[in-house]
Amino acid sequence: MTSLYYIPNWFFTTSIVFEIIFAVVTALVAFLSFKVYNLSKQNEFRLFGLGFTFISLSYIIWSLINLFLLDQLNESIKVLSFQQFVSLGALGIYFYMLLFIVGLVTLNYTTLKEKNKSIYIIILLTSLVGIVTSFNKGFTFQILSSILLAFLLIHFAYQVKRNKNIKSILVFAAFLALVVSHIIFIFSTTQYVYYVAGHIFELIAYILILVRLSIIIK
Amino acid sequence: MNKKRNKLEIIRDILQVINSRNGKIKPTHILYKSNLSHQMMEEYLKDLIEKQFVKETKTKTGKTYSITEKGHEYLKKYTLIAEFTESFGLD
Repeated sequence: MTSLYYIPNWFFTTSIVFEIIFAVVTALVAFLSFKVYNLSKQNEFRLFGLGFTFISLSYIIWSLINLFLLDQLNESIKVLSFQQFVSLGALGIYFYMLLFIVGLVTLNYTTLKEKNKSIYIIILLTSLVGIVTSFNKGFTFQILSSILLAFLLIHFAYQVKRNKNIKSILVFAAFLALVVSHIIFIFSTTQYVYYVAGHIFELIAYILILVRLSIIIK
Repeated sequence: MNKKRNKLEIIRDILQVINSRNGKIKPTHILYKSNLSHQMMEEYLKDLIEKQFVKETKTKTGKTYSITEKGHEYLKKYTLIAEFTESFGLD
């Protein structure tokens, strides 16, 4: 049996709460982005909003997967394994991966100076084919997510260099925490401690984004 | 040296110029006040008309431009737009 990740029982409810928080924060970014699009009519904001909508939906599906698809490995640990890939739940897992990757590719596309639909399609197809044809889909998914997040991090590092203010540093720090969390998630196929640590880093990331959003709205 | 303006700042400047003239202005005044080349100004005005931020009126003496409700809304919420843009580097 190949495992996607392990969750200790004591962290089970907390992890679902975390995932709902991630979904809410990303939905807030999407909402604000669509609001800015309505005011400015600049397509970048619509795309950015779409990217975060995909990511928000992926978090909702992730929390549903954890609620309904986990096996009890022993008294203290739950596991999401490839066994469920032959069930209806497989659709949910693939859908979660698909939405998250589409979201990240869309966000990366908005940061490009040159907008060309072919580039978007090539990046998206390459990423998705990579996951679908991979033997260890969970592992490949986390590596791809880390790479896509790392490219976003480079974009935000450039913003820090350009703006030289604490607001840009906040967003950069948030995406740094996201990259770290997904690198940690790569190892969650072996030990639950990585799943917990990944969640904590991801929570830090979304708290930082929430702080930045509150400054924007204020 | 002044920082190069981004697209959103140029749009704000054009809308502010039109707004400052009580909502009606000739293209030569926009050109003078917005600090753009003639070609750039034409492109921005075309874009702003398409987005319904600005309305073009043809008179006997030439064209005049006025700001619409959407244009006013843009100016009112510009801080929000600029803050969001700066946060995520979307300009």
